Amino acid sequence: MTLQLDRLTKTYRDGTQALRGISLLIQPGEIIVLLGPSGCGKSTLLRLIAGLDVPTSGQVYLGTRDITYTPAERRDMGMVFQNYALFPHMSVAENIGFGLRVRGITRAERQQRVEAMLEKLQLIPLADRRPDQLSGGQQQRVALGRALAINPSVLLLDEPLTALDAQLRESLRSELRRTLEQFRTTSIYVTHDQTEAMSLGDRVVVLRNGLIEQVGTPRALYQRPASAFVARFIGSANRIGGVLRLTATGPSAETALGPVTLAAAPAGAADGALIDVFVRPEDVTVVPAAGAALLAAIVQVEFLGDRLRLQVRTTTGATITASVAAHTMISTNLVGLCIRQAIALPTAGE
Amino acid sequence: MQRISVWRSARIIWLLATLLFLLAPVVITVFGSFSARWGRTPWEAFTLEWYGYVFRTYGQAIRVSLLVGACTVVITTLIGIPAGYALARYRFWGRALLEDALLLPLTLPGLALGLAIVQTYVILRGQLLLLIIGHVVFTLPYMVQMVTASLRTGNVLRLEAAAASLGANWFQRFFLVTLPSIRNTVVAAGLAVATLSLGEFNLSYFLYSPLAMPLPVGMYEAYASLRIEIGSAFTTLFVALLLPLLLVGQLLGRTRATSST
Amino acid sequence: MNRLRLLGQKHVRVQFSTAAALLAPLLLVLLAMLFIPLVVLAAMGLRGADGALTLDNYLAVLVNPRYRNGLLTSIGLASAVTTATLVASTTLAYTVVRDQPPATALIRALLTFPLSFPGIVVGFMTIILFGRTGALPALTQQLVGVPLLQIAYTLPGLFVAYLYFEIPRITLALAEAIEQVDARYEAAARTLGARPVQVFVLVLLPLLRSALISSSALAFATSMGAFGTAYTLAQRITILPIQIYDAYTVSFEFELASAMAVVLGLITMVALGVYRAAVGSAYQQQEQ
Repeated sequence: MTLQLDRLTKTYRDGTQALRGISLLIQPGEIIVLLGPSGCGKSTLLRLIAGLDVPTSGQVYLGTRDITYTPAERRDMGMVFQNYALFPHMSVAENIGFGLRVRGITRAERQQRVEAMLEKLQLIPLADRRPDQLSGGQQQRVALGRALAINPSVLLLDEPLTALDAQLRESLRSELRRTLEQFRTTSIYVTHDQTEAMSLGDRVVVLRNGLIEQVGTPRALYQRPASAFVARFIGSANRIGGVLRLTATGPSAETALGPVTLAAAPAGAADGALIDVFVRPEDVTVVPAAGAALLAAIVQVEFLGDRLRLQVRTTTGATITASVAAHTMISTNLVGLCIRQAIALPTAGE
Repeated sequence: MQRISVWRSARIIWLLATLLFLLAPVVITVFGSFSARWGRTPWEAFTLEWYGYVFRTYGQAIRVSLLVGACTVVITTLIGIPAGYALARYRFWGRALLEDALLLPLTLPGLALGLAIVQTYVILRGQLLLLIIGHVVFTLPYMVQMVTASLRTGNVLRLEAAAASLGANWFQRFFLVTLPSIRNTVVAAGLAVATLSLGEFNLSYFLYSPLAMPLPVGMYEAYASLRIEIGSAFTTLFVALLLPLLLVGQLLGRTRATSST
Repeated sequence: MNRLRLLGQKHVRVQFSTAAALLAPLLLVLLAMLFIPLVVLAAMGLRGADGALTLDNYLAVLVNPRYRNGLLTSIGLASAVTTATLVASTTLAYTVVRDQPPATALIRALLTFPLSFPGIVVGFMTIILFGRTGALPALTQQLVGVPLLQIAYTLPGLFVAYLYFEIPRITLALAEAIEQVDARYEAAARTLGARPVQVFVLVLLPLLRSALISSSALAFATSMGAFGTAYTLAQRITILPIQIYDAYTVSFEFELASAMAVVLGLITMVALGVYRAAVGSAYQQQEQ
């Protein structure tokens, strides 16, 4: 069943506008990530979808059914919470069987379905443990099992990895990805972490100040951001001013770094228009200074293991960040720079 | 949605009804104390007669209780702060036992304790000192518990550690860091102790001397043998006496002045 | 935090003597005004009319129909008050914390206000509501022509008075406990299909278990030992505290009064033990 959000707004009693008109169509089986900085409205949106809160205006449709005011307990949406919110007074099996129990499903059937779920998630040996006796990864599996046991129409995940430390977060992220692919339930995942968004989402919805900034596949968002905000929120980017040149060989820009090849011209912009040019750090390569068109002095070098992050100052006066392979030899203070390609956006007074 | 908000409204009405149950008699008491006739509102028949009677008859009782309360607060604070500090900072044999013993006056009926004390110190019966020390033992647990809890918070511990790392010795740490950082708690606890002492009846009823009757005993006498208007005036006066203590306590955060039944 | 605590712990022996010095006044007060008197009280209860050692007084409390009746009435009353308080306060606390009523801060302040009333004032408030010239009899007089609910000086009146005493404090204690419960547990239960009643019974109540136990223990102990309220309202009702007082001041049976006071004290000590155990286990849960 499709899930459709239609012009949802939410204004709280104190006057804060958490959502200012969100419309979105989510296809069956899709994994959607709601991404944005804190306060962008992503958690509020998830609560409206879950039925834990009601919108000020707008509708939520599941298939053709209007569920805007249906309470959470009658929506059949499993939800995984931050810190997982596993019931501490129940065993793993009881947690997973909770949704079936409150639906009045017989003990025999419940046991059978719980066992099937335990098996799928490799939790059988832990069935009688209490949540506080489980590792973070095991807790995540129980939380997923509990939400999936009710065969939810939509699976909601509210920053499940946020509270964890960096190392655990990474390993649980791949485990989560495997589980989501295994079950292929329509899923909506909320996070403020762009790496999580990129690795988990079929499509990512970037939210900002209660509005959708852009929707697209992770690749599309990265390569063709629709706004400076997205360009900087997903990955990082150097921003420079430029003038658009439309020639037979393709779009390019005159910038403080010299002529730069553009992936695409901003829609509707004419030759000679002033544009914003964004250069990803990894699109900047370091070449020997001799014979290079653009020269720069290295200001700072950060060693990140697999990459080097450089701050350079060009002879034209611009300071930009470059990310280069760690084995790049940097012998002198003066290097040449080569810009592989750049992203162009219409100048917006941001 | 619709159904849930009906239940929510029902619960809120239930809450308001409970508040009415708790506060309506207070309002009626205050009204009644200013009315010449019970059942009339003060603006129909205003009088201060009942207050005059209370002051004439029980002014001494109010003074006794204020004195006892003040002494109790001072003694309790002086004993409670070091004891609370020791319980929070040191490990020693019997600490858990002592903390349990401090819970005792919480649930031990004042009647039983009063009976016990009065039969132990027969010679001291009627001395104001006995009444004061009785109030001290009854209020000390609150002071010690609040001080201990406040000292056990990580924040005070970190401040003390920071002071130590800057070279402050024990006395400097205690007087320049520890004490100032628990000041609000101590004041709040002191107010709670004052509230408890002013209203303490069960213990006082066994320990007081007829020559120095404390306020609650006087109030009981007014309830038992005098007109309801006089009881109301005395009660209103008592509440008015407590109100500033409660308000300051509220401002300082959470005070739980728990009286005995 | 443990490392911070080491600050004062290097010299165990120094520490012990410092602690002893700081605690000495407290211990002195507890010894003089709590432990010695309680021992004297228990010993008094063991004294016969002729001064000889006997268990008669303690037996009388349990065997003599009059005193046994008082004890049982007290236990029954305290149980009823505890049950009613728990039911009322759980729902009230839930409403205060989770339903976000308008003016929550004011409501809390108003609930805190009656906490400062001693038992005799609670008794007086009951007289104001249910006495011969009380508000409710006056109201029913107006409405149906007959004054009803003049119950202040009866056992039901005592029951209402104890509720007046217990409800605000137990409500506030439970409200504090509900605040400690992460709202996500209830949200999780709802998304899994639990109806509001199921959320309450299957999730919230079990999570509040230790708070409910400690609250019941406290309510039971205070209702059992309540003297001021009972003395204001119920001088003719045979409940244990009134019987103790009567034995001591009216019939001068000091030994019997002491024995009854010891029995009363022991019952509240058991309640205290339950309270302590419940609070202790809650503490352990938090530590985890």
